[in-house]
Order: sequence, then structure tokens, then C-alpha cells
Amino acid sequence: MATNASTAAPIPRPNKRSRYSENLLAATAVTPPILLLVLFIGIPAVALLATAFTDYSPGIEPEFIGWKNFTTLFNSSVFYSILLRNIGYVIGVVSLQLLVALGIALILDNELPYRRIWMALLIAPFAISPVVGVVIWKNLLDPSYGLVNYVVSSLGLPTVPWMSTPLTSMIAVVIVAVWRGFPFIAIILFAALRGIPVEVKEAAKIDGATSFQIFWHVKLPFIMPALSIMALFETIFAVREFDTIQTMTGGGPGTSTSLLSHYLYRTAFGTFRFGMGAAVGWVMLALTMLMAALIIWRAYRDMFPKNKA
Amino acid sequence: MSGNITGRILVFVLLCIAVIWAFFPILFMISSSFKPGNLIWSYPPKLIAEPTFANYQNIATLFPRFWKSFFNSVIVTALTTALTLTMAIASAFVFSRLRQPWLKVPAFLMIFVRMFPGIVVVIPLYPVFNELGWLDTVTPLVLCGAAFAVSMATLLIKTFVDDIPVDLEEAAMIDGCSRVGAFIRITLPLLTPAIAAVSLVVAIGSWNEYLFPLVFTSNDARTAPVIIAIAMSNEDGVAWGGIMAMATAYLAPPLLLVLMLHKQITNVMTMGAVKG
Repeated sequence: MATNASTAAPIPRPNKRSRYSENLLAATAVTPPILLLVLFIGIPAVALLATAFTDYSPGIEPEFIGWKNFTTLFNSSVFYSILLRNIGYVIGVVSLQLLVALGIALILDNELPYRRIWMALLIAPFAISPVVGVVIWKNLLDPSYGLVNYVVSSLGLPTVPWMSTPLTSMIAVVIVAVWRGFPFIAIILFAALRGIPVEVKEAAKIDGATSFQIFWHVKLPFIMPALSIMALFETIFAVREFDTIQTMTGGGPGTSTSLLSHYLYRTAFGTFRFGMGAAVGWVMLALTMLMAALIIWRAYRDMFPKNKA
Repeated sequence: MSGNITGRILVFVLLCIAVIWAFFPILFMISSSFKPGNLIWSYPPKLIAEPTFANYQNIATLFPRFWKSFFNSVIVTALTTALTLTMAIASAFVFSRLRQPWLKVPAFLMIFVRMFPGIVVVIPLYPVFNELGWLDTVTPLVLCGAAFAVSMATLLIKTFVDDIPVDLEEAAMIDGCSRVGAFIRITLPLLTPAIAAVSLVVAIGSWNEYLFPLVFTSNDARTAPVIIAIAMSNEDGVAWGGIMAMATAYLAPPLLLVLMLHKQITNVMTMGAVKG
């Protein structure tokens, strides 16, 4: 505890001149990233708020049109189905990612020979870009020649018309998203499982608890904080899913697999209705901030531990 | 945990399924990139078929823009990572070692703004970059990439700086080192493994970035993922052999780095997410 305190404590520097130089040092270090964040994220986001109230389109003088973009949006059945689909997508992807990651973390938590090698192979999809993920799975999921349908049919099951119906297209996108997303969560959950004191598990075993009881009553409560933070993080990233949709289905057939990000992109850069696209952007921001509030608060608290009430 | 034999076998079977799910798709694509064109879609699918380099040799003729875009990806990734890490190390040092009350404002800004989706900023930025003549150059890719990566890099490195006792720096300062000099000479060398791992995570993110190059480039500054995606969406006859070869060439650098440095990456990601 004592060493902890001395690590965190600032060097006491009472005189005025050094306080001035400290302020200068801090300002010099912090200015470039803050400038970058403000210029390339902060101001554009505020500009988006303004754009959403105009009929802006490149080459045309923007005119203020009030809430019209928002009323048009909320009266559009296409927008509603995209919003609902996005919510369904988020729930599906995040729960599957967490389940797969939790399963893999629990497997890794056993005594395994060569665990390092298994882990390296298991986290490999983390390195794969969404575009390559789509190349890989478009090939595996090809309805007539793909390996997945070959395995399915050799098991005597009916083959799946991947990528030709809205539902199977959406499932294909979910597969790519889960495949790329689970390694990160699995690593975090594995670390959390490793953090459970051995005595606690031993005590439960001596009391005659089954493996499932140990999981449910000991392990799960212990890793719950990590699990819930991961759920929030992955939700935020699933809300903005773009790359996989754009490269795998292009939102099609029709708009049947379009999600908010993709709809925004198409509205802004496909039909050049930037104002309308901006209105979609605000819906996305609102959804993101709803989820992010807790993460932001936690990260801020961790950065200044002394503020903890 | 090790319990009985059935339990062990079950765990091993599940492990094999997990590894097949995670790694086999990558392996299968790499293998396909070495198949001759007519065997890529052979049915039943073959895991390995008459290995050849033909697909790789054909990249230059089928997709003349690919190697240039690969080079662009290298440039963008190198510049983005260097810029991000320079800023992140300096800010992490300040956030960890100094306690100026006003530092809470930039700290909050960093944590808050990083949550914004990239797609939200491309609409307002597009006309600005157009005005500045930045479209189809690497400049907006590097600046936007760094803007979105710098918060995470700063927070990660800060947790590592926090773990290094300040006493050594203090001792160096008593010996006449400046505050920055003490940090650079004493603490920075101890941070090397963490910085390497954070660099790798930032570089992978930049290397895989698709949205910014899609929107902000049209020709000269296109990066590899955009070229691969365009090749894939070509409705009349997708040249799958060439696409597999491009995709393999493009995924090889991050994949090899992750396989070699997975331990360091694991450490960094765990530090960032579980601590506190």
C-alpha cells in the first residue's frame, strides 16, 4: 500500500517557477492530441448537428430546414426497419460473441499442454481485417461450392442458401463479426478467470460443488465486471458496423441487410443527401452515448483514482 | 480442475473445435491462394490442390493497382503509428506524473471523444478535405487514423507508466536531470515492451482501416483493403484466385506479428481493460 501511494503521488514541487514550467510541459504534451481530437472528431461532430438541420448537398448552398430531415426519417418505414435490424444485429452479435468468448476462456482456464500455442491460434482472427474476413467467409459460405455447405450436406442435412436471402445474408455477416470479435473478449475473460484466487475454487470443490456450480456461483460472479464492460464495448462497436455490411452484402438484397452506418453512407455518398445522412448520424451518436456513458465514467474515474469519493 | 479422464478428453475436444473455428478459415484461404484457378471452386472442396504461385504472379496484371495500394497501406500505417505513439507517450507521461487540476479537461475529452463512430465525422470532413486539396492523399488517412487511435494508446501506456515507481526519476532529478530528461532516460527504456505492444495494436487498426480510405481516396492514395473490396464486388466474373492472393499478402504482416507477439498483445489488452 505504501509503495502504491508513493508511485501515484506527484513529486512535491512547491515553488512558483517550477509550477509554471510544469504547466508548460503538460500543455505541450497534451495539446497535439487534443488538437487532433477536436479538429478531426469534435468539431466535425458538432458540424454534423448543424448539417442535420439543412438540406446540404455538395455544390448546393445549404438551407436551414429545421427538423424536416428528422421528421422525414422517423416517418420512413425503411429507416425503422434498419433501426430495428441494427438493434437485433447488436443483440445477436454481442450475445454470440460473449458466449463464444466465454466458452473459449473457460476451455483455456483448464490445465492445457502448450497453452501458449493454442492461445496464439485462437486470437489470430484479431489480426484479420473486416475485408479479408469477408473474402474468407464468402468463400467458405458459397451456397454451391463452399466448404460449409459441403460439410452440411455430407452430414445429410439440407444445405443453406447463404447470401441469397435477407436472413442468410444477415447470418453470414453475423458469423464474420463474431469470428473477428471474439478473440479480444476471450483474452479479457481468460485474464479475469485467472484472477480468481485458487483457494476460492478449492474451497468450493471441497464443499462438493460440481463444475457447473463452481462456474455459476464462483467464476461467473467473479468475472461479471469484465463481462459487462466487454458487453458495452462490443455493443458500441456493433452499433457502428459498416465494413462487413459494405463489403459482404452491400446492404442487399435491396436494403434488407442495411444497418445504420451503411444507410448513412449510402444516403450521404450515394444519393448526396448529406443533411439526411447527418440526421442518421445523430441517431447513431445517441445510441452510442447511451451505451458509452458508463464506460466513459469508469475510464475517467480510473484516470484520477483520487477522485473516488 | 483436471479431474477425471473423460473431463480432460472433453476439454481437449472442445479446444480442437475452438481452434478449428478460429484458425482453420485463415488457413483455408491461404491454401486456396496457392491453388490453380480452376481448382479453387472444385467440388468437393480440397484443402490443398496442386500448389502454384500463379495467383501471386497474376496480381500485377489482373489488379494493376494492388501493389501500389499495398505500399500506400504501409506508408499510412507507419505514419499513423509513429504519430499516435509519439503523442500517446508524451500525454501518458503527463497524465501519470503531473497533477495539474486542469488536466482533467483534456483527459475527459480524450475518453469522451474516442467513443464517436468514424462514419459520423466523414460527412462534415469530406467537403473540408476537398477544399484543402487533401482528398486522395495519405494526409487525411493519417490524421483521422491518429485522432481515433490516440486516446486508447494514451490510456494503455498510462497504465504502464503508473506501474513504474517515480522514485527512480526523482533520484535522477536530484542528480541534475530535467523532469523530461529523467523520464526519457529512466522510465522510457522500461516501457519498451509495452510501447512495442501498443504500437502493434495501433498498427493493426490502421492497417485494417477501411472507411477512411474508402471515402477520402479515389485513386492514388487508395489502400489495400479498398482495392480488395472493389475486386470482390466486380459483378462480371470475380477473379477469386487473384483476390485470395491479394488477401493473403495483405493479411500476412499483421497475422505473423500477432502469432509471434501474442503474449505481449495479450498483456497489453488485459492491462487496459481489466485494471481498475
